[in-house]
Parts: sequence; structure tokens; C-alpha cells
Amino acid sequence: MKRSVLDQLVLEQRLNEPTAAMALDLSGARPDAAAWRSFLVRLLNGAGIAALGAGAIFFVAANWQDYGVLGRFALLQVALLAAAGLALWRPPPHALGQGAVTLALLFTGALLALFGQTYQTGADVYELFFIWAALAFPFALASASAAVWATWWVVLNVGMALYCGLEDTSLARFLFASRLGIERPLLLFLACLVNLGGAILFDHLGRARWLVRVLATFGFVFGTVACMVALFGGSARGAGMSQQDSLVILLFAAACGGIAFETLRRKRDVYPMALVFGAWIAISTAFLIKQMQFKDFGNVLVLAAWLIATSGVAGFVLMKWVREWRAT
Amino acid sequence: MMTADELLEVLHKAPEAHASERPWYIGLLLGVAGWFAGLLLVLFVGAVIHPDSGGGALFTGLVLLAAAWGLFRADREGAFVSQLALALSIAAQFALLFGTYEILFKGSHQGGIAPIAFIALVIQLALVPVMPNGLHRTMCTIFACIAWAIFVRYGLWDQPFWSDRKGQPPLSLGMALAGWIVAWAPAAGALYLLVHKEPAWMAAGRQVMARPVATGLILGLAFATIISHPFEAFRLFGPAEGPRVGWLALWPILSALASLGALAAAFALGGRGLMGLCVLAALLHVSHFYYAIGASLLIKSVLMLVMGAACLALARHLRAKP
Repeated sequence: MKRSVLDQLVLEQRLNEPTAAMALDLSGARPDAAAWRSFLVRLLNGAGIAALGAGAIFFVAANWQDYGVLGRFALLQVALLAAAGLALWRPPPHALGQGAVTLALLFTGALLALFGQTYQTGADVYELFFIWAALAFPFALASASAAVWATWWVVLNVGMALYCGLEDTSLARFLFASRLGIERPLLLFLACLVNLGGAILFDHLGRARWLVRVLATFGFVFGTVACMVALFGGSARGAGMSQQDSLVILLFAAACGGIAFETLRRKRDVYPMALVFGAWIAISTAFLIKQMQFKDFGNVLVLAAWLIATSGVAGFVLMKWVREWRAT
Repeated sequence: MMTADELLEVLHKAPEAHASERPWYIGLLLGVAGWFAGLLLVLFVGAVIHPDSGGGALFTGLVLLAAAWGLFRADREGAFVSQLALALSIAAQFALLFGTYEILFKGSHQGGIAPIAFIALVIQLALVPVMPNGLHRTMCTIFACIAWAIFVRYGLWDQPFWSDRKGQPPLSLGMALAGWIVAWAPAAGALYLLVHKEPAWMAAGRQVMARPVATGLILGLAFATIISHPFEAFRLFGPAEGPRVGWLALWPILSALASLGALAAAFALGGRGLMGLCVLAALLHVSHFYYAIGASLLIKSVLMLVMGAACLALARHLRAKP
């Protein structure tokens, strides 16, 4: 039971301290000794594995210069094999298996980075992240763990962010983007679609809600940045918005409309609507900043008023939905 | 006093939908927007009124604060007017900070970061009970934590890297640990008390005050610890010559432990969203520890390995305990 319900109940019923304590216990809101023990075991296990992993990484980094090329590869490959072996010995969903798969995912990236550093392949950094994501995909798939999937998506998103931020001189960007006439806002929007697609897929598969929310957040961040870059003439280099820029804003608006429609139809989680509101408050504020000349300070007041009004409306409407959807 | 059966009956009848708890993401949206709007408002007010003197700024701040208080009182449940009130209050706080500093410290030898932090601390602590709004109370609590940590450090035992402190020895281990504990123990202690005394303040009807403050303390302990060493924390982006190092390098790992403490408090108070944020904060602190200057990577590595082994051993012991 939520604390807000209990707060209200304690006030309405004028419960005294012992009864309020009993209400917390009976409703399961306050963890009992068994819950605390289970929480502490999970916390200590998680912190222990993370600290050991970080310690190992720090140790390798501390002595990196002292190893030869062979030693470096051997070290990382042994670590990767050990992690994979542990995961096979105690496969997920066992905590050890999940931790081992996460480490295997991270070691794959370290191995790739070492390969690139040693043999000077000339690959761009984003290529490293894309290949890393591709090679680590089986680990994420095998883990069936939201935490491992989240790590995998972070790797993919870093790759996409780097790719979107690169200049036209990159060969891959030339082949796959510039030749097709795709400019930065549209690239950013495609990254947005990849994340939103992932969120929809995981939602459909019934995965952890926090993972769906994380992916949706990534998607909206990409989409919002795409619209802002389009607004400020990212592809037209100061010559105003191009057709592609306008298209990106329209497409993102359509995507937001679709998400809003589905969210309002299902009435399950308000979070996507908060993302929609947040994104469009940011985009509309950027639009106002672009349109204003800032010749006097009155414009600053207009911006402040706009932020207050839009966020106020957003807060009011979102809370209305929160209350209504809890009731259904 | 109710019996357990009577209480259970009441609990079963309690309608979940009547809860007015605001999800963390809506609070975040409103808080960020309100904060930016407040910054814009203070720019506008400063440009229009030109409060050249400290007294003028103080007066402007008090008027804005009174307006914010009135709006919060008028619109306790809604978001429309509250959002305007939040922005007005942020603008007022900047004006009060500027005005008070101008009056008390301008031109004196005591100027610097510490007095600013102290004034900010007093303002935030005063506003927690005064402003009748949960989000405002949470934000004030976080800012109070930050202000206290900065005041302790730069007021009692350190100076910013740009000041003249040549010849000062590197920070000792004891001083680094004591400095961190003095800065963050009050917040941790207050949070412990709030968790421990939850039934008492619920029965006393202090939920509207205690719960937002607890949220602010959890977020403060999880994230704001990085602000207590601002020039070291953001050194990657700062000047090459700069902050004093030494055992200060331990602070990020202490901050990671504080995040885990905040995680436990969030668990005790049933804040699942807050728990996720605390985990994120702990990971950020460990990443920061890697870059912290003052201890070799080897020492850091040994520290992490020992801590990791200790955590796993403790977990095993707890699991085996009947």
C-alpha cells in the first residue's frame, strides 16, 4: 500500500503512534525483519560484485603499461572466458549468472577497444560501440535480465549518439547518411525511433517497466534534440529550416501523438505522457528563443511565463490522469 | 486504540485512488521547469528594478517570497499557480542571497564561498517550514544539504583552489574523513531519525512536512555529495592547475557508500523510483572515483577489491544466519 494512502488514513482516523506503526506493518508498507534481510543480501551481493568488477578494472588500468600486447589480450580474454564460464555454471536468472553476463558484456567492449588501440584499425569510436553492441547482443539475449539489457542499450545509444554527432568526413556517415541525403536531425530522429521501438517491444514482451521507461526516455531525448537541432537550422547551416528539418519535427510530433493515443487508451502508466509533455515544453521553449530577438528584457519574462504556464498545465493534467487511472 | 482486525478492515476499505502522491517524474518535470523559470524571472526583475544596493535586492526578494507564499497557500493542490509560486520563490532566493551578501560581507575580508553557502543554508532551512508545498520543501532540503557541505568545507578547513594557499600541506587521511563526515553526517542522521520515527510523525500529522524533507535528504545524500567537492569533481572540465588533492580522492567512494545508505532509506520509506536513482548515483560515484586524483589506481583497486570481498562475505553470512 502506498504511503500517501496511509498518510491520509492516519489523518482521517486520527490514529496514534502505535496504531500508525501497526498500520504500516499490516499494510506491508514498512519492511519487516525478513524483508530487510532479503534487501540487505541483495544490496551486499550487488555492491560486492560491482566493487570487485570495478576493482579488477582499476587494477588492470593501474598496471596496463607493464603488460605486453600478448599479456593485455590474454588478461582480457581470460576475464571474458571466466565470466562466460561463470554464467554457464550458474546461468541467469541466478544472481551470479546475471552478474557474470554483465561482466562478459563489459569485457567484450574492453577487448574491442584494446584491439582497435593495438592494431590502429582506423575505425571510428562509434564503430567500436556498434560492433560492441552486435557482439554483446547474444549475452543480453541469454541473460533475460533487465539490467543486462539496459547496459546493452546504453552501449548502443552511446554509439548512435557518437554517430549522430560526427562530421561529414566519416566514411560510414558518407556511405550511409550523406549519400542518402540524411542530415543530423533525421539521424537523431532515427535513433529516437530505434529506442522507442525497443520500448514498445519490451513492453509487448512484458519486461520490467523500468527498462521500458529507460528506453522511452532515451528515445524522447533523441527526438527532442533532433527537433531542437532542426529548429536551429542544424542541417541548413543557419539558412533556416530545410524540408527535412520540418519533416523531422512533424514525424516526432506524429510519434508523440501515437504514443499519447496508445497511453490514453490503455490508461496504465502516466510516464509516457510526462515524456511527451516534457519534450514539447523544451521544444516550444527553444522555438520561442529562436523567434525572439532579445532586444529587451520583456522577452525573458515571456519565456519565464511560458515555462510556468506549460509546466503548470502539464502538472495539472498529469496528476489528474494519475488519480483517475489509479481508480480504474 | 483499534485492534489489529479493526485496522485491517479500515486498510482494506482505504481507496488507493484517493492518494494524492505525486510521482517522482512529474515532480522532476515541474522542478526543472520551475527552476529555469525562476532564473529567467530573477534576470527580468534584476533588469527592470536594478536593485544596485543590497537593501534593494533584499526588499525585492522578500516581496517575491511573500507573493510565492501567498500563491502556494491559495493553490495547495493544483499545479497552475504553484508553478508560478515556485518560479517566484527561486527568483526570490537568488535576490535574498545577493542582498544579504552585499549587506553583510561585501568589501570585508570574510568574503568568498563560505559566507554565500551559509546565507544559502539559512534561507533554505527557513523556507522548508514556511513554504506550504511538497516539491518546494524537497528542493530546499537538497539545496540546504549542498549549502551545508560547502560551508563546512570552505568555512572551516579549506579554501578554493584559486585562493592563495601555497605552502599548505596535502590533506591528511584523518582530515579528509572528518571533513566528509562533518559535512554529511547531519543529513544522514536526520534521515535516520525520519525513517525511525515515521509512525510518530505520521500520528502527529506532520506528513506534509516530513515526507518531502525525507525525499530531499535521500536525493541529497545520493547525488549532492558530489557538490561537496565541486572543484575536484568537475576537474575534467576545469583548469589543469587547480584543486588540492591527497586523501580527498577517497570522497567519491564515501559518496557511493552514502548513496547506498540513501538506497536503504528509500527502501524503508517505500520509494521505488528513489531506489533506482540511488543505484544510478552510486554508479556515478564509483566512475568518479576512477578519475579522482590523489591516490594511485593501485590503491583504489585494492580498496575496491577489499570492499567487494567484504560485501560478499557479509551477504553470505546474512544468508546463512538462521
